[in-house]
Amino acid sequence: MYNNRMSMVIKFSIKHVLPISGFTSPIARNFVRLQNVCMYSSKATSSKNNVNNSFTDWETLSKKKKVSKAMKAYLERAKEHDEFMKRQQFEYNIGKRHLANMMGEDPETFTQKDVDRAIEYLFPSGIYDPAARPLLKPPEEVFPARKAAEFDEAGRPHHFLFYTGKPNFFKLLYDAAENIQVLHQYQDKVIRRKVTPDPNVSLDLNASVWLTKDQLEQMLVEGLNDLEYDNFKLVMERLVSLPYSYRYKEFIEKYRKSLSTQKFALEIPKPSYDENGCAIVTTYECLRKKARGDVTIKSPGTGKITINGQDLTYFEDTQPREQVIFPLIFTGMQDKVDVIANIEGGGPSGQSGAIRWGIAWGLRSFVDKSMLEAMQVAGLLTRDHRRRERKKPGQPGARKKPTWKKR
Amino acid sequence: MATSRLERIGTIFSRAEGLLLRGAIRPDDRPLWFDVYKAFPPTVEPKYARPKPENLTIKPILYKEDVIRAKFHAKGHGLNVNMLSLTGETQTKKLVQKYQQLQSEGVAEEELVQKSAEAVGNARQATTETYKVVTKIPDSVTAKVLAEADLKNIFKDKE
Amino acid sequence: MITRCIARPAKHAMLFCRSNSTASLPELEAIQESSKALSTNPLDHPDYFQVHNLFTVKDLFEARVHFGHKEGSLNEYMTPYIYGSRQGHLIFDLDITAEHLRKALNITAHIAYRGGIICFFNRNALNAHLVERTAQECGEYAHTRFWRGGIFTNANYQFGAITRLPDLNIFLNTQNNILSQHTAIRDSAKMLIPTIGIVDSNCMPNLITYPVPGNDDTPVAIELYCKLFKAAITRGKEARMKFLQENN
Repeated sequence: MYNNRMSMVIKFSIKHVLPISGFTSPIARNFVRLQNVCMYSSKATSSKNNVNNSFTDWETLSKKKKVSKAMKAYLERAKEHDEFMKRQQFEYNIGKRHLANMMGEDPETFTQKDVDRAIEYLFPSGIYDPAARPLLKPPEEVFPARKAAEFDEAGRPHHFLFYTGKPNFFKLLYDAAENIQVLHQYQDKVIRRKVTPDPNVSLDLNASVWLTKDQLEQMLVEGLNDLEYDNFKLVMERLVSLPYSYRYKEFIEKYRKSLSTQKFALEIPKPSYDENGCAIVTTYECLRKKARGDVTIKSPGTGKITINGQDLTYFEDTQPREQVIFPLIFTGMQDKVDVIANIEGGGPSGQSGAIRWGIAWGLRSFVDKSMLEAMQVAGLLTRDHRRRERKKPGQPGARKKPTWKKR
Repeated sequence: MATSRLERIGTIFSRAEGLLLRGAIRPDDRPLWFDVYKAFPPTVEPKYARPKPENLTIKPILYKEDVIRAKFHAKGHGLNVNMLSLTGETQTKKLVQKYQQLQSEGVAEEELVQKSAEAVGNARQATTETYKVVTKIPDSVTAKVLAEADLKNIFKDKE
Repeated sequence: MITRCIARPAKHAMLFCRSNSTASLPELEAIQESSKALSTNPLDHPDYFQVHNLFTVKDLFEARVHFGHKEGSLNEYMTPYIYGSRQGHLIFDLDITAEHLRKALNITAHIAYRGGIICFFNRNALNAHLVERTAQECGEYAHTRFWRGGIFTNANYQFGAITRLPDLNIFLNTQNNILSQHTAIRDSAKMLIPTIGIVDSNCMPNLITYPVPGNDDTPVAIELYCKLFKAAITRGKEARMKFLQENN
């Protein structure tokens, strides 16, 4: 039940055997033109023995419904897999009941959440990697899903690039090339009409990057080598460089990942209100170097900054002062909010950096989404994790070496 | 399939046939192409090891007009080709035709090249003003299409 | 002197000399044998799918099929298919080419009729897209990319399951690069898969079951081949559909 053996879930689908042709005109099979075709009459007249003559002709053979060897093997594997999954499901249910009994709860209403809790309690594990800790999960989650059959009953593959071994990847290249051709034709047409292209309609790709190799591999369910990934980027860059590439925005964006959005999945805190109706947001644990403290932002305010009971002159130099007011100026909130900061430890640089991050973090509750993205790009919402590097023995500082003399 | 993978021995047909004759595969399991091959065998047996063709000489393709062309090209006439329009006659062909025409008219041998080059050059200047595509074969599809085509507005869209 | 000065593209010169095509435009002649042809086995008919009317020698000429490579790169096995040499450029005999091409188209149609898998190959990047599109349009398969060794010879391992291999491979060019032959030709011969190949004057025709001598580089020529093979496959498949409908 706990094993990690590879196995598979199969989505079973058989497409129909018959090929579909788009050709509609009837074949002129009634017409025979003997002059041109006389050269075909050179038939093999080998009748070495009975074996050659005892062949059943193809027409008769094809009347029997024949399932290809490939399909037979596949069906066998599918059956085996189904049985395996059934057994796993059965064992999982038993394990769950055992756990429920041990915990003294009702087995009928024992959920997966209870299972996880019970395992954590009954089998405490100090192993660092979560993947190595004991677990009890439904078998569908443990065993990864497998590709369904890639061919039909007659053994004909579904994908026209199947024999390349990486059909999805090469289909992507094929589509990109197709789109490039269509765009070239479109551009020719526009030039012929002497229309000036609309400068407002264009593809803005600044906020996103191409999928990384791993992401692309995951998307296509196929392993790629570096050369193939480079080819992917090359062909996509070529498509993007065309003036009318915005016509294939959907296709292009499928293979891009935006830079900022995932960060804001984090919950932005809702401000609390005091007796005067002021919105208050407090950010605890503002850390930078050895400084730590908390920052409270009050809105509406007048732009008053209080640091450990003093105003901005708490810092003697202009550099830390600039650091502190930078997020306020960046968001244009310098006279709309009040800031109260308590900070201890570290020096002016660390303290001002901690306050800067605290203010920016707290301001998230008071700005709109576009400003949030701008703050992200400006680096205001990024924690600076750098710490002082220790001094090394045998040298005067962390990196500094004694003056080197040859002899 | 239980076949030998030595592709240089025999042909695919002889190897498949061998399997059938010896009963290594059942007649009903024979390859799909087997009957087709038997009915329409290739002109030359596709054996890897085969004798080299006996007659290895390649005849050069030369024409009578080559002599006239050489005369023009030596003088630098008719060397440029308009690759944008592959229809119509080439400059060299016009020159050769003019040459032959003048020769039949009895123009002196030394002046032939010069005169025909001048004549073709003049005709060319005249045609550039009223451009009309002339095709070789009047009945061909290309000629019909070109006759119908509105060459002046060729770059305007029909829609 | 003369040979140097007439060093013009052979194409223009050839227009003068070759109008002696044996094949003419398709004529529709109703023949009383038609009912008989329907009832018998398609293989008994010399041209069941009427592929001979798909093209004429003139079409081949206009698609520049007759252009070979330079004399120096000639493969000796290709000499029977060569008409001559124009200023060092080899010119194919299109009558021979037409005969071979008709045979190849007939085979293609028959394999399609029997529900065979047909796979197109081409290693020339210029024409790769066209070939892939053709394969997609006629519901068949294409491989125009780098050939990983063992796709045929070790298929069950490469694809992770027992796999049905193609029943006919069509090579629109048979070379990997100018120096080496496509490995799939050798592998097809190993795995008993018949091959159709457009062989240029620098290619080796020996292992190819149905070689078609002709130009394998020019996009116009490849376009023509693609069109022809597509038409042949379509005819074969239509006949197959009809056959299956009648028998089910």
